[in-house]
Amino acid sequence: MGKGIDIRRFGSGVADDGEIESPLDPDIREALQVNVRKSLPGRILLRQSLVEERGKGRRWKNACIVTASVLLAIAVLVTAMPDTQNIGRMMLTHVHNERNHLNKKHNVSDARLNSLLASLGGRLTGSIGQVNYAGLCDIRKGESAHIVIDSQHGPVTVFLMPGENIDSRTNISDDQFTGVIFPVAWGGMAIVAENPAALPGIEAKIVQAIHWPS
Amino acid sequence: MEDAVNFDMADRHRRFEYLVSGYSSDIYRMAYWLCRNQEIAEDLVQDTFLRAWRALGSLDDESKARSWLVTILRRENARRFERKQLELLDMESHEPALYEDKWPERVIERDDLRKAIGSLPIAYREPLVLQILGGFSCDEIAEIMDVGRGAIMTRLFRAKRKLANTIRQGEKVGVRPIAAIKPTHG
Repeated sequence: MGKGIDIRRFGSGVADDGEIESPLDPDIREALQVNVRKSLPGRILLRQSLVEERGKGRRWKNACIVTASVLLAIAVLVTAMPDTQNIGRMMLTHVHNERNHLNKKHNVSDARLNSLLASLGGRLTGSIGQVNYAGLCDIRKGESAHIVIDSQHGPVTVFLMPGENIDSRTNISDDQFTGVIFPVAWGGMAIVAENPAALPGIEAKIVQAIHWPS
Repeated sequence: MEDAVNFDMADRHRRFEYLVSGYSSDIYRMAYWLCRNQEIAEDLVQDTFLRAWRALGSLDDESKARSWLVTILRRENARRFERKQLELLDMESHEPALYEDKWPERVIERDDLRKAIGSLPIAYREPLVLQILGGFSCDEIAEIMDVGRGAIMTRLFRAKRKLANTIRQGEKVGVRPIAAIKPTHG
């Protein structure tokens, strides 16, 4: 007789500690093994390479149409100034939604951070302190850098939003976080922390150490 | 300087290929059990790895790659719901993985268990999949799902109890329990 599931053992409470493998686990594991197409890894790599190539092409294309874009940009700026308060609220919501990043201790190296910024067209030219998390996320205008920096006043979240139109420096806050959002030459930047005392120091470091080649 | 950039890019490609070859199958299966639809699962996997490529610089500990990818997957799945409040599709028939040592009857029983897993509430199904398929500990699942360890243990216990009850009910109506049809060897 083959060995199988003893339901009675399971029912008596073997699985009351989630770490202990219950007799049912091997069958569940087997049932979860749905087939995966053999072509899946190849298709993932293909899509990544296509996106990468498209990014290169887009940079060339952007350079070619920049002159024509100036007129359009002027028209857009005149007729549709962005609502900075709305972006500010988005920033605060984003920090709340991804608050788990505030506790991370990844100790991101300057090289890694530079690599992340390079994917957005930016460059790190100096230290911004201890970076505990750095990743990409989607804000209104597309991908932005989401960075969490350690400070003596606690973690500080910085969003670098290339291409974002921020019309003026604006303070933002809710019942937990305080921040500031402001325009820079290459787009917009937002800095958010629980302790407002953390903001000025981080802003000074970021503005000095992060650049977007024009 | 250009050489350094090229080296960085080559290293990035190498790391990405390692992730894809090592984890794409697991991530697909987890995606499937999150959404219970093959096509959506494949889209989720593609989106997950594309996002992983873009954020590869933030993965500074390769030993945490699996949980990092799962976190991205969960976020992509959440985005899917934000983009479109899709009604959860009924569990489609998914060709089960066939192995040479399985008997056809056993596969049918597995399909019943598969359906029972698919009918679990997502709050129970997700930690179950992360534990059994992903091999994560309760602490790791708690961190991935941003839920307390105690809650995870409770959900795991209830998920397995529900599955056990389902099997018991199958016995009562005359369906052979999985154990009874396991092939014997030797």
